[in-house]
Amino acid sequence: MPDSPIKDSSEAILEVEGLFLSFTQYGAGLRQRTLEVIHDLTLSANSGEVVAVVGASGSGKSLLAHAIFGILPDNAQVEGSIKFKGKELDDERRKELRGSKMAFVPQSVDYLDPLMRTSEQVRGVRGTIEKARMALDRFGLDESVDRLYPFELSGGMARRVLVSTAVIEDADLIVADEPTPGMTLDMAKEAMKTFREFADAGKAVVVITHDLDLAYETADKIVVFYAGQTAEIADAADFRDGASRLRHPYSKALMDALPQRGFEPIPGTQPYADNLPAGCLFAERCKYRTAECQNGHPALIEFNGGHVRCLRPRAWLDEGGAEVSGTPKKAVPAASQQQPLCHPTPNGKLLEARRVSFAYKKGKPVLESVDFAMTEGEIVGLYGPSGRGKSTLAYLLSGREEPSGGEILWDGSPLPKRGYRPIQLIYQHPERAINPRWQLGKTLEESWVPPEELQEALGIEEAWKKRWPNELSGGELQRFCIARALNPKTRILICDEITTMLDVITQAQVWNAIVAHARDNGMGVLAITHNRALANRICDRVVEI
Amino acid sequence: MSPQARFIVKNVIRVITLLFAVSVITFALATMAPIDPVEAYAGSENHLPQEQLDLIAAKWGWDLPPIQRYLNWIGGVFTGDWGVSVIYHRPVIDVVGERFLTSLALMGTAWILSGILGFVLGIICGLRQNSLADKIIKGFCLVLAAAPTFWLALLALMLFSVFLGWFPTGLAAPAGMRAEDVTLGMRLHHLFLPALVLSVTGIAQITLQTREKTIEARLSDYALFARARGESGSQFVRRHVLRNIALPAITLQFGSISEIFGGSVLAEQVFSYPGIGNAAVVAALRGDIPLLLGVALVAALFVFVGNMTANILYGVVDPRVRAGSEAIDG
Amino acid sequence: MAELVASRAHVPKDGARNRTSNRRRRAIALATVLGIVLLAALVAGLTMPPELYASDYSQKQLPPSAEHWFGTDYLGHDMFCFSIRGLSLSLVIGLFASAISGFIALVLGSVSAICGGVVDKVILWFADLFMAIPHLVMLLLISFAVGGGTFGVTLAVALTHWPSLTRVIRAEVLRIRTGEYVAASRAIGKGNLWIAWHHVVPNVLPQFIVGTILLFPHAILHESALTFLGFGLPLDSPAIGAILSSSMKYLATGSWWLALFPGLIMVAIVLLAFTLGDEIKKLTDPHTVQE
Repeated sequence: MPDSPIKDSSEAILEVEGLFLSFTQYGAGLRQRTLEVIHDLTLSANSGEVVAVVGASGSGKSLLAHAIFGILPDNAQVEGSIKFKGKELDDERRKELRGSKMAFVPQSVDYLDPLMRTSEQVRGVRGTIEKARMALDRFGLDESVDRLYPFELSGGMARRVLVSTAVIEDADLIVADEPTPGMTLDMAKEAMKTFREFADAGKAVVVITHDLDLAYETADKIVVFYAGQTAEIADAADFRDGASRLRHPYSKALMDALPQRGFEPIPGTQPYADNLPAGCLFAERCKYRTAECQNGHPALIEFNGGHVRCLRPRAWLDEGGAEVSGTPKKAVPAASQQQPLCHPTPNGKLLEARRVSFAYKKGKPVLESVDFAMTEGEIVGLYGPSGRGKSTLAYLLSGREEPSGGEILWDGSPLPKRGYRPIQLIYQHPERAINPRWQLGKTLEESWVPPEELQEALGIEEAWKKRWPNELSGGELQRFCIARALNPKTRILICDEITTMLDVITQAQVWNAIVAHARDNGMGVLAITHNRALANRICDRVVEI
Repeated sequence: MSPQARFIVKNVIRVITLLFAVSVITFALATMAPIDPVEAYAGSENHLPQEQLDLIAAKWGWDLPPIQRYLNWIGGVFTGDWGVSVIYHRPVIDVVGERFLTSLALMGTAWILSGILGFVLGIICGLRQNSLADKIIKGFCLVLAAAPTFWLALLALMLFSVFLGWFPTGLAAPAGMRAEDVTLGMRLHHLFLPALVLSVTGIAQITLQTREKTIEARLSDYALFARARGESGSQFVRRHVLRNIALPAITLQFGSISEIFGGSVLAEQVFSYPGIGNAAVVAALRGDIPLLLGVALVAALFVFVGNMTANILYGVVDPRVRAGSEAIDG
Repeated sequence: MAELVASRAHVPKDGARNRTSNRRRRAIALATVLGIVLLAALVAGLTMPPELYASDYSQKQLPPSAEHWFGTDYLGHDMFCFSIRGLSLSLVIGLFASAISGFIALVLGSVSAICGGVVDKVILWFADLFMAIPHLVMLLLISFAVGGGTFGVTLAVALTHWPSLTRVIRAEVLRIRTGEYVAASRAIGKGNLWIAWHHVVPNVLPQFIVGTILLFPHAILHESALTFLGFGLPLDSPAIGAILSSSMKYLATGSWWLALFPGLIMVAIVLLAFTLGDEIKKLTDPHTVQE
């Protein structure tokens, strides 16, 4: 959005300083221990400003929102200062302000009462039915929505209902938690306009997101979180200009990993709260670390018009490794949906969907007469927002579901029903695709034993194989799902939004490994995604749905 | 047909098929019993000559093959002829009707009391999880759930009737009094103890489940959001907790009829309360097959109506069930 | 949701791994103790020399004392030994009945989930049928049909307790079968048997075990109720139901101990069994299973 420099008239609405958040637990033998998940976190939002909080899942972004609104679980302790309009936000004041001067926009319909109709829901305890109507009107929801229950709302409607709860009262602060899930960048930008309007009306808006590109294209200020700490606070413009004006090596790593930029990930994963390194939390993944970094705790310092928590800000400039080539990869021409022109490559086999339709027993058809074809050795993108039947097509192509009309052909004949299927599917939610009662090593062995190099390329650590699924993060689990499916017998790999829930660095790690494997083995890949930049980066051609 | 109507019709049909099955099963079980109905009718002490026994058998159709007997019986059930009780020498339908009404007072009181008390206690526990009150009520409920109903009845009888002498030791009215002389006060006096025992045993399950549901609501995401929007504790209870726990509570309440019925059989036995449970026990002990069949049928009907009401209520009230929606992905 | 779920996975609401590991250790200890107590009651009752609970006419109707903890009855039985003996009979019947019930539930639940269609409908219909007749009436009828006695009670209790667990197992098998990790396994080329053994069984077994253990206290309660009404074990046998039934005749004489103690001991055992089931349930929760 515009480079609106913070106006003089703007006042600080939200100031978080030196925030620590920990959970008390009972360790062995009734000994209490605390697990610190947010450490010395700082952030501020002024009126008229959209602040984006960016970080991988597990970095403490959502917990920050919960801390501001005082809705943390009972075993959480908060230290440090949270100020609202210059005055400390204690429980008393918070009770007064919640819902009137500060509004929270949660991330999904799960936050709505499942048995309450929309208008009553939006009204809350402070508003009236008329106000609720006006709020819904404002977001283009007519009277027919008033009497719907949450489960009857479509994804887009639900998001607008959630946002309309924030405008019932004239709040000065709006905090939105992941407001753009599963949306294409264009749709997400459209959604962000709402928040821009709020800011233009003099409110302070904090948007929590893991979409870095969305953040820097629509926000005024970016706050980067890493492992429960503020790594960097910068003008969004600094990000738009590429890595040269950034301050923290993690911010740079995020930028470099974006598909529209270098798509080059740094190795490693974000450390867990119970296993933090001694010094700088980022040190073990940092190319520019020194011995000092591994001992000292860097403070958040002012640096070139922003803030950074680093002992060697912009060290990459000194080391000459200035920029990963910022040149975006050339956009791939999108084939039209009606005519997927495709013939098998000289030695490849063809996967083909002919006029397939699909409907659940009583439901509306999800897919109607869709044609699709791809062959071994090519990487195809299937691009579109959620709700268009992409997942269903993936189910049909992989043989998990039978089409209710039309046919799926593999090399000219129906899909083999028994034995190893040459078409493998990887899901969006790895935690559901892994048996919770197996150690992860067994999950791999169920399919095959991937060679060292492949495991390394996917970033699978040997120690993880002895762990249980609920001990690892989604990103770590997804690597196992991928390794499992990269068995040499796989000829086409269908990836259904496999990195949607993951941060950009993990995304780049994972996709680089998949693409390299596909190229080396002549395997075909169908990448289903709502991320155009990603599709452009990795695919030979992109089909829109 | 509207979805609601279809839902109700489906349920009614299901209940009718199930009731039919119940009649078959009870009849089969009763016929399997190693009891000779003729002998039970004649009384084993009176050694009647064989031809007279045959006459009795022929009169009641006990000499017919089982299927024929079943058809006769079930045909009679529809026309109001449920057979004649061997013990009471009265039409089964009269005995069952009279006993059922007596029990209804007992079960009804217990059902309503335990439902209301359990609901309130459950909410209190759920909202104040791990408080002293919660721990006491929960412990109390666990013990109640572990205690045999008849034992509690025995203890109550011992304490309140034998030692304290506050209540009569049994029956539904003073013994030897003519029915028209019995006052409402006397009836209530006799009803109090059995109803108390039955209510107390019913409370445990309802309290524990309501507690769980309340905790679930309290820890839900929508609870977080309600708090973030400035709803106070009492507003949250009124707007969200009641709404979300009422349905499961109603279902459980109607589902508990089966338990209450079972409990009432035991309580009636201890308090010699002349209800339908008592009739079941007497009928089974003395081989009164027609009466036993009648009681079983009424009991099943009673429970079925309860379950069906719960199902229909759920279907009509809960928008999610009403829509019969199916999750559609992608 | 993803963000919150992920952060909860790292920082569970009520404490993280160490807390659960502690809870787990406590649950194991508790479950072991409870198991031992139950076993001790069983063994003590079954191996008790008959003279300990034989009648002794010189010791009739005595209130509790140091010599007779629970007092004696009108036939001069020592109520403590008599009750323990009775309890062990209840335990044996409860064990058999809940094991049979659990087995029925396992078979019907799995078949229902795997076959689906008509078979599923029929099994569910039968479960409904058995759930809809009041338990006690059904117990009476079955016991009546087979003529009472130990066999009658065991059969009656076993045949009335399977429906709820059947539904649980059916739902669980269905959930696993249609789950993504099973779909992935199938795509890898694993056959039905392999999947059943490696995916379905490890996930259903804990549910089944817990469910069966929790059937056990219900089975004991129903056995004693049936015996109390006169349809179970013979009324002169040392069974809790029988003891309480005969104690009724002596209520008016003020022999309170005849009803109080045998009932209490029954409550204690049932509570124990309930707690044991709950603790084992905690242990089998997939979120603590690895510690």
